Amino acid sequence: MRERTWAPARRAGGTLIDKPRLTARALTGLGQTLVSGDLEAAIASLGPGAPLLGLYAPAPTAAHALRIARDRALIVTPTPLGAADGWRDGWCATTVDDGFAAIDVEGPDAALALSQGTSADLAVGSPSAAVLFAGLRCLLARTEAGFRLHVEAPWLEALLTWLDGA
Amino acid sequence: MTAFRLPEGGAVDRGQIFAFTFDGMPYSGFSGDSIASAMLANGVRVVGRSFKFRRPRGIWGAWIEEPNAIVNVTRSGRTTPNLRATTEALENDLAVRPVNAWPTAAQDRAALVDKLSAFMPSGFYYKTFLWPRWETFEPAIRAMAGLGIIDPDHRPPADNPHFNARCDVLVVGGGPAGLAAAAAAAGGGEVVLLIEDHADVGGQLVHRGGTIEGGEWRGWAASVRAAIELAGGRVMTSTTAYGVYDHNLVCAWERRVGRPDALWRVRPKRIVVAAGAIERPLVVPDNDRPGVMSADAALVYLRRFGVMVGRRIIVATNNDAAYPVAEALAEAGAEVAIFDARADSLPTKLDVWRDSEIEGVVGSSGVEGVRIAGQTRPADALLLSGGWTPTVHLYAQARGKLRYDEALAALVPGAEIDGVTVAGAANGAFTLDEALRQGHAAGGGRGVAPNAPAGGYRIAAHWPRPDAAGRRWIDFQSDVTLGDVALAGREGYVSVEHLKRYTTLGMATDQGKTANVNGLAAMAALTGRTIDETGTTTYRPPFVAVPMTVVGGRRRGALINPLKRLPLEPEHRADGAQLREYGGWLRPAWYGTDDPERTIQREAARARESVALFDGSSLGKIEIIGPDAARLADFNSYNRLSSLQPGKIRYGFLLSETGVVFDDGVTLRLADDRFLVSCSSGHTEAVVLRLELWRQDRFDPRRLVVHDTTAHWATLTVTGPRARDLLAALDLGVALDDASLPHMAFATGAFEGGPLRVARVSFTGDRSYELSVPARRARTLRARIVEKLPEFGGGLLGLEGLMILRAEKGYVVVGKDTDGTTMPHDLGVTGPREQRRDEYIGKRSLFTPAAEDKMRKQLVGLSVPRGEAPLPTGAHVVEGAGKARRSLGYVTSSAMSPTLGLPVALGLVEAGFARAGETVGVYHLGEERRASIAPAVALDPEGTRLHA
Repeated sequence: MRERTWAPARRAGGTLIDKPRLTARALTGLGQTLVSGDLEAAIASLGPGAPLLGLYAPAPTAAHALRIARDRALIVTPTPLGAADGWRDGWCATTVDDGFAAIDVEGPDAALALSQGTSADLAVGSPSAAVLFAGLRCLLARTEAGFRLHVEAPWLEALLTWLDGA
Repeated sequence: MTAFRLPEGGAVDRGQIFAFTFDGMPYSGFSGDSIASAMLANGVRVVGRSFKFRRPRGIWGAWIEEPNAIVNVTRSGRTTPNLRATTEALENDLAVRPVNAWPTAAQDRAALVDKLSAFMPSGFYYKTFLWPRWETFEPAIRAMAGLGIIDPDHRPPADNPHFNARCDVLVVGGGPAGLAAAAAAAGGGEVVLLIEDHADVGGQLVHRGGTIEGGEWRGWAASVRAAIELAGGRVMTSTTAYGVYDHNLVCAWERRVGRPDALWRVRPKRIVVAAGAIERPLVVPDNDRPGVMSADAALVYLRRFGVMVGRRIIVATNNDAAYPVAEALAEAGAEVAIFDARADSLPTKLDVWRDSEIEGVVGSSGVEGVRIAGQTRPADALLLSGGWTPTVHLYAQARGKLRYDEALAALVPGAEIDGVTVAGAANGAFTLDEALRQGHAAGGGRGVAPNAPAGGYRIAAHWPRPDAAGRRWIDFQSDVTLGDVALAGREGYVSVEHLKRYTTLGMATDQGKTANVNGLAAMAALTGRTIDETGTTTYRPPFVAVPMTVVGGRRRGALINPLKRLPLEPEHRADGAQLREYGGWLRPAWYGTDDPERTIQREAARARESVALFDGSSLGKIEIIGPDAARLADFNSYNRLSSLQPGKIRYGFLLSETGVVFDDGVTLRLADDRFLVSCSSGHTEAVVLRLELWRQDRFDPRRLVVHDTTAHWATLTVTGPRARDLLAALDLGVALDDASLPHMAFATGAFEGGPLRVARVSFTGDRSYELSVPARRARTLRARIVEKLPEFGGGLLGLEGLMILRAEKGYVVVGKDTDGTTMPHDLGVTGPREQRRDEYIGKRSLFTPAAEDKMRKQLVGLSVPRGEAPLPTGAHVVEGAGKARRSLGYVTSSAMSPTLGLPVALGLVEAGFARAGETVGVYHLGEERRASIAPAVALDPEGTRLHA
């Protein structure tokens, strides 16, 4: 490619990759809230009952939290929470509904894409769902037919370009 | 050598004929051939020229050890250089050429160089080409010595995947030891990944045969394969494990048919190296003649490809392994004699010359005879078997130490290292039964190892003597002779590492696989040391040459350095944006397809005259939240922020610990316990990291949090004298009067049910409003602004126009108008340095003697007369002339100001503040212009436009 020639970025919505053996579909309308500090208290307040998930853990359709660090997680809810941003008693929340793009990757080649994307030992797992995937910081969860990635929205096109060739 | 194809035999598909050319001559081969086997089958003797002396060379080996048959291969008009003819599969319509011969390998024009060999010992060019200078000769020498020519039109796609894999046991090598190890491990329930570099498993069994567990070996191998797969493992053929890295990460190159090759990164719990052994030559006179070949390779060509390497063959050896080769060739119809350096040879019906010493090879372009005991014996092939060299590379790369085994005349692995076990021929087990035993044990097998008839292997070391007569080659590919090693010794290069570099022994693309042991043995003899004392050079990956396409993988083109994308990119494209990279983001540079320079000038002028819209979404938006937020904000910033009132904004610098300006930006105080750091687009990740670092290292992380919200928000900036009018027309529900929303303050509101933040900050010097909304709402907001722009005579503004506006105002871009030494006082910002008593990052460094040096480079304006062209960015600001010319600094930013009608420029100039009004030179590409040192702010120094 020429340095100045960049393919137009795909907007997060609908089916983003549709190959015979690999598809990527955007999850839209999710609520995503960054919480830090006392995660137990944060989840109890913003997503009561939501499980705190580590690397490549099965992601439910209901509210769940993807752990990013010891004291940080992304609470994912089917719709935006609309919670007030700011400091609480020992924890804080920041709305990032539009900050992360989420995609479900499925198809017979999804496992191959996964083995290309990350060197993490998915069989062993990790308390944190954060991982470098295709060289990008992502949160990785398992789905029934493949896997789910949450990536900072500005990197979505880079991730899709990578998946196009996976 | 008059090699030829036998009417039957080999594993080639004789029903599928492939046409190919070598040096333009048409030939044919079969599916299943390598390029080398096909050339041999067609009687091609000279396949290339030696690297230095341009001597004719033939095929020596049959696999990765090949030093001579290095070729350029053209497929479908695209040429790939530097391929080994022995490992490349023959395909239809290949055009094959030697890498370094012209016009052909057989008729090379530079062959005369060999006549000058007496004047070209090792290192001769270091000593010879000194005057006038090396560079005078370098192009011609490189042209002669180079290996292949890159085809500039051959740009392979970036489609080689990199896979990650894990397993319990990684077995490298699918020979008997590797298979036994894999069988044992799989039998114990372990997940095994077995990697074999040939297209089939078996290793030496494929051409030497063998009986295992009472039957032909293939049945046993098939059962092992099934057992591996049953236990959840995998067998990967045509895959070469080429390197062991930290924590025993193993990288492997998989050659795939009909699909791009792949690179595998395998992280096993343990590794079994069963990579076999390579036959080394005997160092006899003229041992580089075409037709001199590895004995084991000759058997490979016979059994795998049905190719006989000659009709009258002499096998010279010092060990038992050559005898089965000689017998197989004789059985296939060749006239074979054995020259054994030992007195006690194996029993055989063949003609054996004991205690024999070869005195020379007759035939310059191919073996015609072999001289021994003063007479010449006719022959068309001379097969050399100097013993086995275990393939210990992966073990040695993993920091394993080798020891010399006298009985085997070989360097074998010493102490076992953590996680790596070596078995089979790689560990000196040169018989089938011993290889199976070792493999079984290495795989963790219990009970009895797979059974094979007892074998035997004897060798009498026959190392090269440094004083031996004749030209004897040690390293075929680097063209290093025994005489070169002796010369290196005489000149004091007796360390193997010095020997390697002085003679280039082992430095060619075969990495000395057939040469190194003979070379260090010669040096040992020369210096009176043992081989153990002499030691080896360091083994480093890769074991074989791996294509750069495979190493690079898919990270080329758009993936080598992907850019972040704006949420409004589709809208910018729809408006004709020309997108360029700025700080890792793809952003609009200007809009439309008119002449870029005129367009940029027009956009900048319009922004000054009326109103413009630019996308500031990429600016960092990092929140510091918590009871201790003000403390971290203060510590992170050169300018105090704890004194900032909620609702207000302050501009400032962030410094590195060395006091150098790290970034600049504005900080908004959202609440008493909440700040928003809006840093440069390209520095956001770094600022987040440093905030997190200091949060955890200096403060109580339970009272403080750093959240990066950059991606959540889109920011649209409306700037210009009519900016407020336009915003008023949008009716956003936010009071815009200067009392309610003064410069460096912000207000919040709502837009389409979501939050809206309106901040009065300016990077243009004009009244400006940054409107921030969650990204999903930005399209509507932008559409409304764009709809209103014409009403106010406004338009869109790209980054290039914005850069002009900020340069007119002397606003810095950190990293462009600053360098790795610039401190805040070099930019004229001294207040915090003089007034702050508390600690902040970089403070201590601001008071060192270097920081207080009066001759520091300082940011100034550079003015040139109206009518002149802008100064070149990067040009040197100089004083003096001729040889006395001295650089004072350089131009950091430069533009034509449409508002002022003259060029404006910024520069970092030594003691720049004290030079105000001084005329200096500006030197660029041999030309010098004059400029005068001026204030950095060229437009509206009073700042009235911010409030206009």
